[in-house]
Amino acid sequence: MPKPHLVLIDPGHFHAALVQKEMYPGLSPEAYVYAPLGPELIDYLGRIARFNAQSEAPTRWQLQVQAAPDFLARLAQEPPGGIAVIAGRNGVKIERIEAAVAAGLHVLADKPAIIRREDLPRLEAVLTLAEERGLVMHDLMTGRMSEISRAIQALRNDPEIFGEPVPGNAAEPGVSLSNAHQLLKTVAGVPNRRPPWYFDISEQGEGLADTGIVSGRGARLPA
Amino acid sequence: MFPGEALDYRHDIRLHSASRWPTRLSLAQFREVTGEPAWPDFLGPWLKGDALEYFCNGRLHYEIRGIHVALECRWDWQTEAGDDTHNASYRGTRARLELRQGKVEGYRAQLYVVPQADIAGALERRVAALQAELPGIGIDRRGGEWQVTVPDALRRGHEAHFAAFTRRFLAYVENPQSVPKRFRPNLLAKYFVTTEGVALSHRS
Repeated sequence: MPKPHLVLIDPGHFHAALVQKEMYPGLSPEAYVYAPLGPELIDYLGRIARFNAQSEAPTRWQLQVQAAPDFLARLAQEPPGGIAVIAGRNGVKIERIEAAVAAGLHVLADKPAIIRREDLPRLEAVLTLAEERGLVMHDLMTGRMSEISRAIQALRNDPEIFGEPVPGNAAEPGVSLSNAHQLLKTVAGVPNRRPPWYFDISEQGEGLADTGIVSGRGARLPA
Repeated sequence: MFPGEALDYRHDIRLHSASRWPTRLSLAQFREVTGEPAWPDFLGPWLKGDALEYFCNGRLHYEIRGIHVALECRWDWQTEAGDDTHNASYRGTRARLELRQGKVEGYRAQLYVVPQADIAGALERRVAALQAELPGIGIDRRGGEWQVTVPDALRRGHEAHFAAFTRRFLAYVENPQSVPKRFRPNLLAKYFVTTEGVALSHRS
C-alpha cells in the first residue's frame, strides 16, 4: 500500500507548516495543497521552502499545489486515504473539515475546530461520519505533548500525591487556568505576520473560543 | 482532569458566568502585524475612534462534574514575558499542582507541588518512577513547596510538539481502532465549554 500523503487545505496559520517541520517515515514526501492564491499560501510555501533548506535535518517535501478560488471543490477529486491538515480561518474550519471527511480524508485540524455554539451539532455529525468511514479526526493539541503536561498528569493521577479533586467554589475554584498570548511574535526566527481576518472575531473567534482551547505547556482545559 | 473517563457535555457541565473585553489596537500596530496599509472594511464594526476593539479576552466560570473551574484568556499586543504564558492550578485533597510562568520563573513554565498532607514519600517514589518517561526530572524543596525540575534537554519547545503530536496522530491513522473511545465525547465537551462560554459572555 502506498504511504498516505498530507493534504493541506488553505494553510492560513503557521501551525499548518509546523506539522511539516520534519519528515515522517510513514508518510509520503509528496503533499497536496489546495488553497486560494494569496499571501497566506505564499507564506506557507516560504516556510516549507525554509524547512527543506534548513541545515539541521532538512525536510524533503514536494508540493503539488492547486491554487484556485474553487480549491474546496477541487478537493473532492482528491483520492481517499490522505490526511487533511487544516489550520487557518476558524470561522469556516468546520466546512473544511466536512469537505475533507466527505472526500475520505483523515483530519488533523488546528484548534479551535469551531468557534460558535451553533456549529457543535455539525462537529458532532462530522465526527460520527468520520467514525463510520474509519477515518480519524482530531484537533491539533500540541500542549498534550509537553513535558510539563505529562508530569502534571502523572502527579494528578497518583492518589497518594493529589488525593481527590477539590470541588471548590466560585471564589476558590478547584481548577484555575489562565493564559496570556501576544499578538506580535516571532516564529521559527521570522516575525510572524497575521492576516487581517485574524482580527475579525467572526473569523478568528473570541478569546474563550480561540485560546480557551488551551494548548500550551500543560495548562489544559478539563475535558 | 478525569483521567481515562469520557465526559457527556449534556449532563456533566454547567456554565455559571462569563465576560469578554477588547484589546485595543492602533492602526500603526495593525500595520506592523498584518502588513496591511489601512483598516479593511470588514473590521468597520469594531473600529472605535482611531483604534480597533478586538474582543479577544474572556473569562469563564463553569463546573464540570461538580468541580469549579475558572478560565481566563487574554491577548496583549506584547506581553512582558515576550512570549505566550500559561498558568494553572489544580487543587487536590493532598496537594495542589501549580503551573507557573511568571516573573519569578523568568517566564519559563515551571511546575510546583504545594502539599496539603504528608506526600513527601509518594512524591519521591513517583518522580523516581517517571525517570523512564522523563529522564532527569527531579524535585527541589523550596520553603513549603516542591518545584518539579524539568531539565532543558527535555524541553523541546512548542514547535517540536507539533511533530510529536503528528507522529501520534499518524499511529491512530494506521490503526483507527486504537483511538481511545473517550476522545470524541471529550472533544465535544471541550468545544461545548468554549462556545457556550462565548454565548454566555454575550448575554452578561
